Amino acid sequence: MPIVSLLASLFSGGATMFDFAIVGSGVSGARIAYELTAGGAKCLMIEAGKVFDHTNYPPDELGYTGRMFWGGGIEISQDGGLGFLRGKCLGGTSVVNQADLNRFDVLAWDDWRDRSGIDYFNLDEMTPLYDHLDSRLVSNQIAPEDYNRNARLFIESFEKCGYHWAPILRAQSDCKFDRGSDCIVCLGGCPRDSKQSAVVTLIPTARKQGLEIETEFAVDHLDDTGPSVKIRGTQRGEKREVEAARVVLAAGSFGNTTLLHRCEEIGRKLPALGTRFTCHPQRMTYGIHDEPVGSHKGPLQSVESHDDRLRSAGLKLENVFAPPIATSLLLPGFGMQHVALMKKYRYFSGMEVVIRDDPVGELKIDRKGNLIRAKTLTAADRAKVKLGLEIATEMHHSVGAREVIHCEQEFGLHLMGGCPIGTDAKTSVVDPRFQVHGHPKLIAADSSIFPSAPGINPSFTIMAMSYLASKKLLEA
Amino acid sequence: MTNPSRYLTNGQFRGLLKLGDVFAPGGGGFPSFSELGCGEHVDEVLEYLPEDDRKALAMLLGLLRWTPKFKVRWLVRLLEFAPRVPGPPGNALRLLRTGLKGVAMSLYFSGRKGQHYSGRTPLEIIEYYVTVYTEDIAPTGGGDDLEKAAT
Repeated sequence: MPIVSLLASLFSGGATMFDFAIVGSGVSGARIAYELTAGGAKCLMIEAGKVFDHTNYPPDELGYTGRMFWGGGIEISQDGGLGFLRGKCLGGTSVVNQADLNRFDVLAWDDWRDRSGIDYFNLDEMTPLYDHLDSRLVSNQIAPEDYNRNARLFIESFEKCGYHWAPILRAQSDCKFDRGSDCIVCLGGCPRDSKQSAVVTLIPTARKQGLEIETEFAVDHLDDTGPSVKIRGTQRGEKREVEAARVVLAAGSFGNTTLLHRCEEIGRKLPALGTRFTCHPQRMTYGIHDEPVGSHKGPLQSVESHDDRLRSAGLKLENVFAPPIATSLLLPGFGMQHVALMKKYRYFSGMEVVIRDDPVGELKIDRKGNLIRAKTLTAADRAKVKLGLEIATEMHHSVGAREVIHCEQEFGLHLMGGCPIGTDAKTSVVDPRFQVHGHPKLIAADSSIFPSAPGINPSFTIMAMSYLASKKLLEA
Repeated sequence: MTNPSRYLTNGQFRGLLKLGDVFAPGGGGFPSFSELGCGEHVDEVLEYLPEDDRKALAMLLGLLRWTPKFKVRWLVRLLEFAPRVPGPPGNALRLLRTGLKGVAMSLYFSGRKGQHYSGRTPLEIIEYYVTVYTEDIAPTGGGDDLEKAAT
């Protein structure tokens, strides 16, 4: 690889030539940066957001919503029905999510293998990747004695209604719940660095291994027609151009798809670009209890559904809660009726219905190059939502909720697809070697390549695929 | 309340206050949106919006400035039906709802208050107090190095 950079630099007029430029710094970009720099590659990581760490995370919900999320806090589907949240900072969404580590099951892998035609999508071949990553990650389950009352009500409701639950494995080290820590704060970055986000783990190590990092650099064009790839964009108002032998697209479903669409000479040759967008649409439900529940205190998310019937139905129930601004937007009504509900905030339990949606969403761009998120729930999706809400309502009542609220605003936190992986260039964007079809200098291994919604939190599998992609790149 | 915003005209700012008072009219122990003075912090919301979205929101607030309050209330009531309205009219209502309810509630439940308000904020009224134990964390760390390394 160094020889490629040297040769390419002879044509580049003396500008720094990298072996790899990695666009995006979330779990995929960080994993690939770590593996490639460990293998001796000269890498540049490009991130559109700013650098935050435990010394300067914004102190509250309003502070982090604007500063650390795309769109000033939320991005909306074309029909206005779905809100999407994605992190915009060094470390990406791994800084602002709940760091759940879930492995895909046979159901997910079989579906992916059928849709993509890729044989290595099976439990036998993917398990060693998970095991390797597991051995190198700091992870924990919340101890039962630390469960907050929301978790206890969730468990009780599952047991009363005859469903199975399980503790969540999270990439966290030491949250100090015994000292009164409240995880809800960590939705804007973890002030203890307990959350094992990319900015705490892989990025510092990759930097020690030689990774260079450019932030506040929004990439808007790629030119891979020459011996190397020219990467163009804007950094703090100034036009920038950098060059690399190859580019790893790790900007997620929205970022990768937008970028490839904007590069007309690339995008128009990819008939499947923008297809199979999914997002695990979520609907929040609240139970209102007579006694305070304090769902915002302590660990935010300790347990989740782990039930074959729910899995087969394309459903997952999550034990989760939201901070006040988000809650106020989720709750129906306005005026006195609305504030009267908000006054009961401490009396709410929370249960989220998450569905495995059909892969029919589409990501396109308008004339200005802005992303259009065409995503409407299908009839089958709606049936799943209806069933999930019925089950959640039964569960809330089983543990004494006086009233159950179904929040109508739907949102998606797992943004997947747009550049689906597969063997057929007519129906996929990325090939089994993680290269964009017809563009071997462009690589992608993040959630954008998901061929369908797995119905399982995607983070750990993004890491696994990124690790696999790194191995293939280093072997090449 | 004088207009502190870099992004809104005086008229648009007054539209924000009117909108906010429809969403949060006060009562039940809560201050109204105007009384709270949270509108003084509107730029914390606007600064991070994409420019097209910010301009569209500002224009809407400007229209609300001249709309009688009872009609603003009708509009907000109509927006509550947005999730259930099909087709393009529903699309428009849902986008409108996200924008208008978003700006009003983001400010009202932000914990921010105006310089002349001395009462409890809505976050204090709902007793939202959260913290993370950090006394064992060093004040500097990998982040400082990353800040210096990243350009």
